[in-house]
Amino acid sequence: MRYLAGLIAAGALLMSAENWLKDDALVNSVEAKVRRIQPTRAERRFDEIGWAPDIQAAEAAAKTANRPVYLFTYDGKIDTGRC
Amino acid sequence: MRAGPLSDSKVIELLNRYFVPVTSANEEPDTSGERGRIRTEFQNKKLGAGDVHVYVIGPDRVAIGGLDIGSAMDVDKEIAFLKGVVERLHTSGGPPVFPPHPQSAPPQVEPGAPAIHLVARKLDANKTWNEFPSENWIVLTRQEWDQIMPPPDVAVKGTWQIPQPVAVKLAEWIYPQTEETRRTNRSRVEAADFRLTLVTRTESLARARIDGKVRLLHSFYPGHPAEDFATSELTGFADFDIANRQVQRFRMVTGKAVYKDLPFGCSLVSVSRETLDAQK
Repeated sequence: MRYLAGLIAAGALLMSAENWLKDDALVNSVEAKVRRIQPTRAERRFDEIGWAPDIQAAEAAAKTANRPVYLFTYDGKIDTGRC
Repeated sequence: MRAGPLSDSKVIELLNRYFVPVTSANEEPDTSGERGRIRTEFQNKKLGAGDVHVYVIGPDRVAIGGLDIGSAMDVDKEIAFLKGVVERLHTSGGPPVFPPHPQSAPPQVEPGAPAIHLVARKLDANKTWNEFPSENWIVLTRQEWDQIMPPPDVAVKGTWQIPQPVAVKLAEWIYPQTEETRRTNRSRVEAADFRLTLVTRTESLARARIDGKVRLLHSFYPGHPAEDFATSELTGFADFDIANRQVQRFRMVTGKAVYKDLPFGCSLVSVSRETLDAQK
């Protein structure tokens, strides 16, 4: 059974390898430059806050949990940093 | 706010433990009327109000107190304010009511039409308006992706270009963080030239190198027309499944890029629908 599972896994790997080109120097070079630009964990601390999807949902949850609502109003798009 | 108090550990802990936090963009339609109702109540009770403002209301939707943006940006004032509300209401702490999750939400895309995640940032970490990078999600239709595919008869070293309407969609967000009050793109793309060169080809697969040049006009402040240009040179690659006419991977990244005399970096990365679904 384990042998069969190994064969299936190897077959799937072979099939998937045939469906994609191997990474080459161009791919590796571009991917390395892309990684340097991505947001860091420190830059995404805003995502550590459990934001409600909208004001009404926040108010409904606040009533149930007996908590106050913290509403921040702003211009632009704070979630994507275009603000 | 995002890079200041909303990235501070104590503020994050207080918001998650004792509050139900929510943001609301002024440009979003106030369909429930609640944003307007809250603002009016704060004005009537002389608790302060503004476009960019912190409002705290009780579990019964009654106004409690607020912070103008200047005070809210001061981490110590923000913490003191939040603690004061908790003490006043005798709020019991607990886990976040809504689980934290990435706020840069990916869009819905068609099958076979990946979304493109764009990230842009100034390269000098000490410059202002650079506390975190800007992100955008670019959506191309299946038909638009199809226009990026290699021509049928192209051989290795053969070239082709991305048609202008698609090229403009790829180019219009290639600039670093600026002040934005609206959600729509206000750039004027003057040049968007993306040339693809076939570098590898098998019976069913192909890879192209991408060389791009972009020049766009984008004033730093909205409503203040200025000759602020973002110019960039990009390299990248695209992998194609020729048999199924699909773009498997698409990547572009800036080499040399300048906005208002300052260098910036920008990357565009395709994300498949399957990956987006798995992240939900």
